[in-house]
Amino acid sequence: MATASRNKAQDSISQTKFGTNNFLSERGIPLPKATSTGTTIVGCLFKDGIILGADTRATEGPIVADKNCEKIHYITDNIRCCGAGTAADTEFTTALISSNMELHALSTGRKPRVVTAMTMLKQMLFRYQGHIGAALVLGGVDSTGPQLFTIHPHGSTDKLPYVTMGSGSLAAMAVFEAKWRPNMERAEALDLVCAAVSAGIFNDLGSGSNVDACVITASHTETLRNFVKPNERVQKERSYQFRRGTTAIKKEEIRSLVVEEDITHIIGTGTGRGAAEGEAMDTS
Amino acid sequence: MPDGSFAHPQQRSFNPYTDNGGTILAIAGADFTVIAGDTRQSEGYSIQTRYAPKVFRLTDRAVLAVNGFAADGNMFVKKVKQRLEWYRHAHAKDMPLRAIARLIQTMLYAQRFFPYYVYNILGGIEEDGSYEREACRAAGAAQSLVQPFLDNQIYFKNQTAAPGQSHPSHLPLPDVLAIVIDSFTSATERHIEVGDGLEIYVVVAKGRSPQGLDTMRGVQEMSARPDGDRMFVIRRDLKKD
Amino acid sequence: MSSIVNNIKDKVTGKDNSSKQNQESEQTFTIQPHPAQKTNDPRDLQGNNFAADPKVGAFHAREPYIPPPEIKNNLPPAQCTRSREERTRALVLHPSTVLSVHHFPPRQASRYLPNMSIMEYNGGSVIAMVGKECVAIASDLRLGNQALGISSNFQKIFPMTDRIYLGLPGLATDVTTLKETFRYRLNMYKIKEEREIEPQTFAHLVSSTLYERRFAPWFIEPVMAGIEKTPSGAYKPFIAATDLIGCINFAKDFVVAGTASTKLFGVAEGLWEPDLEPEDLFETCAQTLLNAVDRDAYSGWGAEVYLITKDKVIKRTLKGRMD
Repeated sequence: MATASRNKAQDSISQTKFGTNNFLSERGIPLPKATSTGTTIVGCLFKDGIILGADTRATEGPIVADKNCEKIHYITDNIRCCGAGTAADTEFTTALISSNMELHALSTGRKPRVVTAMTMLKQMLFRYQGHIGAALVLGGVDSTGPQLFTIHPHGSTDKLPYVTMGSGSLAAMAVFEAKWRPNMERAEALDLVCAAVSAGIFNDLGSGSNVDACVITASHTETLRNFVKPNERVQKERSYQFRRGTTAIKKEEIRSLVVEEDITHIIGTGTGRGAAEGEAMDTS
Repeated sequence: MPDGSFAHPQQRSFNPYTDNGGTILAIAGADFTVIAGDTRQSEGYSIQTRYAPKVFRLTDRAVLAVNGFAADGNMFVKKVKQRLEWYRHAHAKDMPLRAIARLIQTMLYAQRFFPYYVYNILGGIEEDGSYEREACRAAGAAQSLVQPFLDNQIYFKNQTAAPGQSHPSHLPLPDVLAIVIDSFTSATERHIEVGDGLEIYVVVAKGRSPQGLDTMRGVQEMSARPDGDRMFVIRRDLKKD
Repeated sequence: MSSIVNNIKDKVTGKDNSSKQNQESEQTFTIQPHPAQKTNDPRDLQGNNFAADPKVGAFHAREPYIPPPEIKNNLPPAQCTRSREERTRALVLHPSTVLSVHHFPPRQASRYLPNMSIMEYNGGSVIAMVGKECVAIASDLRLGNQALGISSNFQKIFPMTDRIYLGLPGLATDVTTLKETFRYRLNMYKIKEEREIEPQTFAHLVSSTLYERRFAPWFIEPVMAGIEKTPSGAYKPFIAATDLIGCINFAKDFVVAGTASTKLFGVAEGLWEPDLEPEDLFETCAQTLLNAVDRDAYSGWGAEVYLITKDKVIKRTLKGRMD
């Protein structure tokens, strides 16, 4: 059934330790499915830094829940993180670590490093023993140079020059294995990342729609949202607009709203008590 | 147990079936039938092939669409075709549509305890003109996406007609084709197992106008004789993600 | 071995069979070079390849990492206290912040529930659609106990502010609880901020409220629709939906949830088009809902649509199948 990333979503809310769910699943009640990102996320090293890439499809079982979601999350200015697995988990873990990284940067007074984010993420995920179903690709450039990691839901990490994750990871890795070389030029590396994500989009049913990319160098981070859009819907054969009055209505209630508010300035107009009060308040 | 024995009885199971995704649909008009299916065949999150036809021409005027477990589907179509061949040899004519429907029913029920994991839609033209048990039907992975849309657009469900007017009981062919194509592009958008290609078979009753179909983009005529029932196939691309 | 025997046999019979002998000689195999010109010799993996380069090698953390002098001596100086304080002030506590994920005690569901999904226990569906300077949000009115219909007047859409409406399909007990939870949280927001919440912010409030219960979730998939006021003073339609643990879906066209969600997706994908005028949007939204719930056993029994424009909100109760 389905892929690793899907199953993680199911496992993660069905454990004994947490709440109602074990009680329910013991009685054979299937648990509701959370939105999961049967995903292709990739990252690779190039001459000047790191490029991250992701598709934009979010699924609920075989149904596409979101055709254009964002899977490259902000950690700090110089660090980004791609998320696969249970969508809400990737969203909230990255937001939490982003917040903690900001605080960390404030307390140290230094530019945050990728290993710091990696360590925070793996410690958190390990603490939750895989119940938080987030599979991440973390990349960035810091004072120690370009850094690229993968973090698995149980908290294990890898440091490699090119990485892929999610249900489309095999398709994407095939592209990297064939074409990646050390010290690639920016344009070349960006093309490679697009090709890797596209391999996932077209060959893995869990991945689809557009390619998002993010280029991080020592001096600059460039977010390329919907960098390639190879899957736009074609024009429909006809319009399906209905004649007004097609739907039968039993009852109608209308609630009017205030659209404009006129503000009358009473200060300085010099008329009556209002002005006096206004001035009195001014000085207090 | 260290000695290799088991404390409890062990159960082994083998599942001979799999779901290969895809969707089929059929709509009957006054003097024509449209039967369509996408061409993607998948298993789990992988595409096995982007072109595996699900709609098959049985006779000059009968088309069968199969969906579900592809191996069973192909085998079933093969066996139906074989029975139709035998019928031709015995009776020197094609089996009538209503007999094919009954044949398929008996063939499926013959496998009552090891069934073909296949949903079938048979469409075509009866000997005495058009024949319909239903005006529209969708089946397969995206059935639940497509069927309510067809209810609305073919049967005009939940639509009140303009004052002094009534809804048509049968739509003209160009309208039906537009609805079929839009049903599939919509299903492709929202269902991961639908996509790659679309094959639409159209059977037009003898002597009736193909209503501009012969000049349509991507159409191919498959009629056996120009004076009999005419059969066309329209091929379109669907999104491949 | 057999070839030798054959040779002897041939010699004895006096047959010359050199061609046959060739055929029968044992097949040999050679190690083919890798197509990517990588050798198969494991020794070659040890040096002179890219995994051996310490810069790209796997992160094994064998010993404390001491940055090389060119990095160590070129580290940027730490920020001064003042600039750090400035940055701290710039950061505000946003409603999307989940302060902690709590482990709540389990909510005891009935012992007598047969094999079914909690999300389908009471039934119900909601859809929201974007139009031209307007939004519509619609729901059915059924409350069921599995297949048994209980009420045909169970509201699932609630006003949050004048211009934000929230649909809560899912477990009915949670519908009632969450409706009150959001009323409370919005009141608190209004008191703190002295203004109404914006739809975008409200979506994050909903999201974090649900994620707080990550491991014992509310069985609700909220759908929200509203009109946003842009900084320039213009009004912009807004819709969003989340799953039951708070993953937000900001769609540009439509969002759906509930037991008829697959049907709603299918019909909406066919019927919706961009920039519909309010009255046209109402028709499209109402038709989508009615036809979808008619094919769903757990939704239906009446429907209502809220049509939100910048100057008014129209609520219409629809006439539909009641079976």
